[in-house]
Amino acid sequence: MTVSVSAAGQAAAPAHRRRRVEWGDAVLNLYVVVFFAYMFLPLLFMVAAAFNQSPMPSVTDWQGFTLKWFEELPGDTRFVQGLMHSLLIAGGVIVLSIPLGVAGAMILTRMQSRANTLLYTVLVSPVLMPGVVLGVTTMIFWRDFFSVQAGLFTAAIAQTSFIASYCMLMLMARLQRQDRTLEEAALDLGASPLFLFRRVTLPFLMPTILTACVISFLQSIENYNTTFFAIGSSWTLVTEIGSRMRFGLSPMINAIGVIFVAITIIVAVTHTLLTRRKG
Amino acid sequence: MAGQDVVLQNVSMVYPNGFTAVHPTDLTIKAGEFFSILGPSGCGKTTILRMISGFLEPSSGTISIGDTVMNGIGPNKRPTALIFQNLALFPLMSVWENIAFGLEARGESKAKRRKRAEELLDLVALTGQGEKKPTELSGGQRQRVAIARALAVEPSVLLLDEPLSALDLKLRQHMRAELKAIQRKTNVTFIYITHDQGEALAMSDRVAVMNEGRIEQVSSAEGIYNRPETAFAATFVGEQNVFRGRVVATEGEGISVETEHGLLHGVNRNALTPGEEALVMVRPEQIELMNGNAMGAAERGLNTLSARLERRDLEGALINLYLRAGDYPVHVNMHNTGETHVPGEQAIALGFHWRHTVMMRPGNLAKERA
Amino acid sequence: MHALIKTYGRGLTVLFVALVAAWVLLMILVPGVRTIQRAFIYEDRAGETAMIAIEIDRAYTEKFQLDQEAADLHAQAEAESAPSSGVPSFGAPSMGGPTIGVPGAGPSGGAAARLSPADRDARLAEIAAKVATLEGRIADLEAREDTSSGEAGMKERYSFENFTTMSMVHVRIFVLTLFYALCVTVLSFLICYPVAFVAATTRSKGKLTVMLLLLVIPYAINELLRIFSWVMILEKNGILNSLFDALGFIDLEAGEGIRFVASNGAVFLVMVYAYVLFMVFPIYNTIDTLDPNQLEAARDLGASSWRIHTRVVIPHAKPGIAVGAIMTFMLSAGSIAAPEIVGRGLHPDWFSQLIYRRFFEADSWNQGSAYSLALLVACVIFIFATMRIFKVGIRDIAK
Repeated sequence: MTVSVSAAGQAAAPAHRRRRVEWGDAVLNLYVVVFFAYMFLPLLFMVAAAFNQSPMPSVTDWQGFTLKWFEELPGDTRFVQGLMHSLLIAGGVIVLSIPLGVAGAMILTRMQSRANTLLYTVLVSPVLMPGVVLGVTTMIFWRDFFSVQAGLFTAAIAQTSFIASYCMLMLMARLQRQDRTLEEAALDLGASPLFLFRRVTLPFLMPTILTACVISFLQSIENYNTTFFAIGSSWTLVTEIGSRMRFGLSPMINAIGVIFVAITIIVAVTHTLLTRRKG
Repeated sequence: MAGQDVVLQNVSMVYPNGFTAVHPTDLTIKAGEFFSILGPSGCGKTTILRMISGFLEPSSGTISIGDTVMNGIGPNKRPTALIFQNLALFPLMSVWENIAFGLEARGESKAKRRKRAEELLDLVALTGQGEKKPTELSGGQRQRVAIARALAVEPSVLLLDEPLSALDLKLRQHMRAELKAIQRKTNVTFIYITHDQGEALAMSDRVAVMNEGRIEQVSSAEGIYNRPETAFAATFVGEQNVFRGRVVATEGEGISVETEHGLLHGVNRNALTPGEEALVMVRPEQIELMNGNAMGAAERGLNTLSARLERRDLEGALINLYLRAGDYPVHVNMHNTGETHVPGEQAIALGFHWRHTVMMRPGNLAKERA
Repeated sequence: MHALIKTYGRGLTVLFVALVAAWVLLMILVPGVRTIQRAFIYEDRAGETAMIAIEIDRAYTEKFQLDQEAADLHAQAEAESAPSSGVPSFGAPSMGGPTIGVPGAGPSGGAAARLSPADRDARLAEIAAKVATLEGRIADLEAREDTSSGEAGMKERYSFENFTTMSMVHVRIFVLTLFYALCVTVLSFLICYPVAFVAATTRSKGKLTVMLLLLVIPYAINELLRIFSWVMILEKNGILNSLFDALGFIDLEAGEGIRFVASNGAVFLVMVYAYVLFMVFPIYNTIDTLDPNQLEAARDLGASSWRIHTRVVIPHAKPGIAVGAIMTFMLSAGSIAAPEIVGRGLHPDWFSQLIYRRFFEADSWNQGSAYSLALLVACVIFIFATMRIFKVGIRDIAK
């Protein structure tokens, strides 16, 4: 990145080197600015086009400011239904993923056995698999063994198979920081296992469970690859957006995009502010 | 709440990896007693505590509390309460919720829990602090919350796992007195684990000295210090000057041992017989300076020894002398009377009474002192 | 397990174990095994069953057309008998959707020609007769299909043929997909590394917070939208062509717009944009744990920047690079969104699209399974190779 420094030992070397380093820092910083421009400019175009009168999403052909693309959204039944489907699936994914994640994390952090690494590998493997594969294996399994056709149910199951892994990893990180003597103290004071779990372990895990819920929800809503393969003839908001994108561009997509971007920014900024206050 | 007996019969603990943490042990702790188990780290004292509280199942033997055999009964169903080394207060609950946790687990009503928590807060002098979070309290206050929380379940046996080790010296000494007072007030059987002889000797009715999975001696605090029965107990509690030799004669409780410093007389603690090897032990505070006047020492029952001074430290009321007699270092401490004269360069004659000289069978010596 | 029972009791432990067992069996292992099994079952499509199936399809289509025609004729008759005739009949509405792809036929647009009432009746009788024959034929064929597909007739057998019968075109696409995915991975690393380095070594807390926020936002924005934003740029009437127009390189009005979309290059570029951020965070996380004093020391000893990076920073960041590489490779090799949206089906396929077509267009689930398995194996090999090269374990990877 920066120019290499000439041989050490010369009297002028330190000052010389410092200048080179500063120059290198400047190049690096400039690169970072260019990188962020690369990241954000396309998104800015997309957002801007949502407010353009032009029936084709465009920023170069500006036909005047409008909100009509947003206004049309609630009338589009496939979008609205897709959103309902997405929310339904996300609800199912959360309800399944959190208990699975908790159970997996409990077993993996407590089990002292050589099978531990094997189980760990199996449980995190869905995260490392292409979404396509998760989608088709789920679809095949449920049709072949239970005659369940691909649809919202299989989409929720396919998503759960990897979202539960994320939940588990987050919960494991939390459990590894747990003071085990707290559980022993509770037992020693006469707590039954259930009472102990409800009163000591769950409250300790609660912040992570809440974060895991949010992340599971976002992951589920935004998922395309896995859902696309597992959902059969049904659709979610995102698969519907995908198929519209394939068949042609419409500023309504941009309008939805703006909503997604706005939600993302709000969540990210809130999270940053919250963690900053804490830390 | 009233204390109950704790009886260990032939209890041992062998871990799955083959390590024997506790060799078969018999021990009876009486109801209402303040009993300490004193030993270096890794000696098995915490293992015994965890077996009594039910977190560990002994490999052999039975543990009974009162008339009930406890084997197979989980920690949540035993009449014991444990105070953890790190206290293990629940960080997300307020002080009073911590104290009332055991009652909540039993399903007591909130009003009843609250009332009991207030009583216990009074007992441990924390009146009005119930709404705080444990992190808002000082170390000593957290200590008292842990005690109150344990007492709330009205245990017959309170187990304490080095609970004072995190406190500074001043607070530790203060808490000793408080613990003792609470024990008197409640009459609960206290089993106290520590590696600090000051704590053990100051609070306990009886002390067990433990080393390498075995209990070496069980006795009153005074007995442990003044009448140690094993080489380990003698050297772990308090300091000893140790010489090696061979028994030449015994007579009643008296015994004579031949050492490189001549014949030394003492008390035969381990029923040694002539010909056996022996350790001769004498505490630093029992040695006096003869100040050139060794005449008639034998008549007064004193052993004598000649040593060369290497270093002297003044410690206010005490003077520590570090000497060397042949191969053996000798430590003497004496009261600073203001007129104490310690000769400089020449050999110093030391004397110590045979009644304060203990002859013991060789065994493990403590590597560190409590 | 014993420790679990000790703390949480039998009930909760059984619940945990049951949940994990259900997860492992119902969501991971059995579906995987079933897919692998299917990948090795070859359906002989040229066999008798397949022929029967095709004939049944044909018969149904024919019957459908006849039914349509009859419906049209009935409609005509009704319209004529109605008092206010003159309303033109539109015949049967055309069946929308691509489901009936019957070549050379189809009642599109209400086709039945106007016939005199007599001819119409004759024609209707003819149709009724034909439909009756067809129905008989269909019943016969379906009976034969049932028996032949019953026990051994389905012509299914275990073999490698699902793989060996993969056409050369598909093999080429497979190899190209992996090659492009590899390129995306390498390019992403080159683009990301400086950014991750700057973020991890900056001394200013404010700068770090802003940088992380700026990284998280595009990372969290849906992949489709990120891809879509690039389609807008690369479109024929898109931003890039407008820019060229403004600069006078091309004349958009004259239709000189360059078609960037629907090419492998475009898919590749968009993928880099879409997946680059999966590389930033793991690398940032590892460089962040590097002791800044090490950098100072290396600099003081006169090491060149190049050496500092190759000898100090990159070796330290290995686990992060491995995670980033695995995620980026896996996402791009398995991406369906980028090729579908950027490619518009006009450019050579991406492998994930082939999988999709095997399942949903060719209706050949076993071949689809074989293709999925091939993709999965490629990803697993990549993961193991990466773990070997970067000398990291599975526990370092999944964090």
